Amino acid sequence: MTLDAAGLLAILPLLIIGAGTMAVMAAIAMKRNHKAAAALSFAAIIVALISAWMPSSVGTRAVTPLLTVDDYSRFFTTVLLVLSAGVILVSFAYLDTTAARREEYYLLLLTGTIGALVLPSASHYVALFLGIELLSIPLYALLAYLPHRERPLEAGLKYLVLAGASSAFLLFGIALLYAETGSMAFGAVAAGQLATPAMVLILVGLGFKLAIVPFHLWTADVYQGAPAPVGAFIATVSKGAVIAVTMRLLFESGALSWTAVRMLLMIMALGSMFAGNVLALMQTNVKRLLAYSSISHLGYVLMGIQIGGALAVRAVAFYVMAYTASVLLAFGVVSALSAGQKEPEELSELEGLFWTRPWMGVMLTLSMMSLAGVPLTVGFMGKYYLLAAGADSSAWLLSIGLVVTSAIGAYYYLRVVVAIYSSPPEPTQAYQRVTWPASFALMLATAVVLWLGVYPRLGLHRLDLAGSLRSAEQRSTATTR
Amino acid sequence: MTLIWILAIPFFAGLLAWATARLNDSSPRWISLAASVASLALTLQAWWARAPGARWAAEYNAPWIPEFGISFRLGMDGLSFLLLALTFFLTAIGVFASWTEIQESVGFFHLNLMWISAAIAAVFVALDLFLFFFAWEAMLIPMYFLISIWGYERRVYAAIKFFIFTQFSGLLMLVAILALCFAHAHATGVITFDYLTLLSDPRSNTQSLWITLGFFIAFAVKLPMVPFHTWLPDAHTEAPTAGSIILAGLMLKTGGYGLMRFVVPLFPDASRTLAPLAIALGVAGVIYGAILAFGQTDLKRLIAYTSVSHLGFVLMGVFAFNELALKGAVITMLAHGLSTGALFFVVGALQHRIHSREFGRMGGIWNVTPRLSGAALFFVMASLGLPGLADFVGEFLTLAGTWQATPTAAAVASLGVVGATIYGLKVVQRVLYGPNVNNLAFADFSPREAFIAACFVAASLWIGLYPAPVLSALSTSAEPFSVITSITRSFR
Repeated sequence: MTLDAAGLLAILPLLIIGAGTMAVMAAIAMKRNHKAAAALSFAAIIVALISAWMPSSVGTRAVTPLLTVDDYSRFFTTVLLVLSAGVILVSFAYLDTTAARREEYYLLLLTGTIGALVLPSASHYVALFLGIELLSIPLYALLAYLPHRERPLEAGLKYLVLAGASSAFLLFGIALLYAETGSMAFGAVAAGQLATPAMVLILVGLGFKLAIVPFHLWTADVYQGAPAPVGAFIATVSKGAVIAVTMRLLFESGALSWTAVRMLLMIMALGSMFAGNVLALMQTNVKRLLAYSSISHLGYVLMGIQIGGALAVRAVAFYVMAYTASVLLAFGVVSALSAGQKEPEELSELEGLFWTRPWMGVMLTLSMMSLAGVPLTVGFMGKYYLLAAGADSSAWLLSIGLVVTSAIGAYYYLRVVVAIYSSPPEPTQAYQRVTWPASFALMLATAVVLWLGVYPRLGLHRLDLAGSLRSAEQRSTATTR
Repeated sequence: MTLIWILAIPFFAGLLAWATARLNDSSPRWISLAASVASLALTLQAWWARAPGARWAAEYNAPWIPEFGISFRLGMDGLSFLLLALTFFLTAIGVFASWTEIQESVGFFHLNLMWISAAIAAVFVALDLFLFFFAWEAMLIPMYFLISIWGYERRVYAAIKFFIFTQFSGLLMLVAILALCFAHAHATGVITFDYLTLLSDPRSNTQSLWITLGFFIAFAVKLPMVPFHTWLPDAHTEAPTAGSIILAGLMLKTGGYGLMRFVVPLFPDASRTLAPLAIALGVAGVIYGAILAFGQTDLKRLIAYTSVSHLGFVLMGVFAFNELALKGAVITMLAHGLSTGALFFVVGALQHRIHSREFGRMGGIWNVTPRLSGAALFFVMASLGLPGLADFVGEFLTLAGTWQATPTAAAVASLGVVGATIYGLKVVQRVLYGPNVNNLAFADFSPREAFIAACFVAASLWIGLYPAPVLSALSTSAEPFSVITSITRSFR
């Protein structure tokens, strides 16, 4: 399969972000200017966003054996690009007051975005590995971007060690699978003895990235240590991209129907739901709390993947959107309020937020409500989708797990809400004045959270998400025959 | 379309109240009062203007999420009408009752009050299971804020407990709704959440008992049924007066309404299986609630426990499966809304004056505040079921109906009426009569408060002396009455 013009058009978003990265690098080399670097990166993402939905981009197209561009990858590409744009907007004001050298931040962010964009269309283990590394390596630097602070450095190092270990698992799994089938395509049918251990190793590697139980230990420290906008990037773009590739991998390789894999996914899903929610109960730091909550939400996502089927794929796609929008809102508020060296991340620092900064208070409340899955917010619709998928295929154990853990989870989300609405301390907290790029991003996220929560007619059923995965499977079985 | 207006008016009035709060403190109060009165008037107007013989006095239907067969479908029949009227009546009273009590963040308070009112009204008219669930959950958040911001000492604990109990049971119901709808979809190939469509195809497979339990537990927690009642005393005690009035008067009624509208009609067979258990727990609630109420030293907590007792009658009445008991249950719900709402109002007024709810700080206030005390005596009498007042009609009909189904249950439950007399007289003795040991001296009811009390008295007397209009309004309601009749027939 050679790379023709149509193929290049199909992966245009990827190319545009790549070009944008180089343009930002050149711009920095010529003249350091924070505004210009941010604007250039933002523009690159917007152009990439438009290019993903050009009239020419319909149907399924394999671009080299590595990538497949279809409805599924286009959906996730869109979501990831919007999230990256949001992260850039909230980063701008944050960096203005904290970092000495700010421009390279965008370089790293864009590189990470390239990696994230590779993943939803990856249909080959090489693309998977390339995407994951391209996503992780800039993150080490991003995490430690404020070197004069203590915690970011620790977070960066922890993430480095962890990512190295998880890549080793991933590579070993891929190698075993290659030994079995002699192919690196997702769709290569593996039926021998090595297939299951290989898939389990791959899942371990991906599990580290997703921070699902029992590979979740790093996540609280990294979330807490990360500068708030970088935390937002990890929680949204990085998680979303890895979920996309995990789901495609499990569907196209057919591993989802193996008993051992199903069992493992079930255990990991239930474990994440319970452990995440229970561990979050006693947290007083919002960033740590969001870390544990992300474990539980990834458990819900795994539940959707484990259920399988067309409705479940749609449910997972919707849930990723719902979760990332809500969590971007939470991190966005924290970064928008960060003044100088201090992020208002302890619950005590958020006390009375509603009375001193009503809009920020309302937004953070909405985000917490959405994460808790309360109606009128998109988080509820996400849970609804998952439960619908569960009811459709009679996955009662997982559904009840979701219900029970959601009730547990309501407690700690409400603790944040309680703090927001309690009477403000004397003297009142000094928050940063919110700049317009950040408030634009926050308003956008709020609009998504509310609009999709009340009127979730996104036309997701018109996108053939599950069809993308299934047809790819059929295609690959056809070629191996 | 009228129904949309009835729901939209409080919703937008809430936003308006919040927005105008910065101008002055009284504009949110007037806006909210006007909105509740307007919605009440529209409800009554829609009822009187109904076409004779029509099943729904007012209807509305629009697609919402067609992908899942979810529509925005509303309908008001006799049962819905009565509860809707009660909703806006008590909301107006709630606004009026907090006129002087709430002085902090008035705008946000009224936003929450109005939104609770809109959500509860939506619960009473929703004819789409998804919409029903949506409204069911939407009640929670403003109520949570009402308790946790304007409540008393242990407000945060009470609010979180309330939220978690109802959230958990609500999600169980969501699973049950989805299980029901997907079972229907697998059987017929069409996915729909439409109540009437699902009603015409009653499920009676092996799964249906579990599905029924999902619904039943959600409604039983709200009702509340023993042993799921523990959130109630905390929430009621800690809530501000308007919050308590709405909690006791309206939110508990959504549980009873759910049992009548959804559990029994949708799952007649499973309901019959559950009936002995439900009746037993209902009777247990009647007795246990009365005993616990007697043991309280906190006046507000005492009244909260009487709710457990009164709503035991409702549970019993619904599962006795005959028309008499069911009508009794509905009237008990209305009457309890009036008498308990009024009692919470009086306690709120008292607490506003003496800053305590403890019996030890009260006593002998009859001579100090004759108007307040007179009202209190009246509502205690109403609550313990004095003939001629609303509660008596409800409890009498419920007991008479239950007697036909299970005489034992009716006999034991009637002990609850004796219990009510005992705790009622305790309140009267400890608070109103006796020597004024604490040397209390404070202002009597203001004209505003006297007016509120008069409204409650008039409504209670009306239902107590002339319940015929209420009963005839109920007779036009197809569910659950036609279903009840058919169940009764198949019993014999």
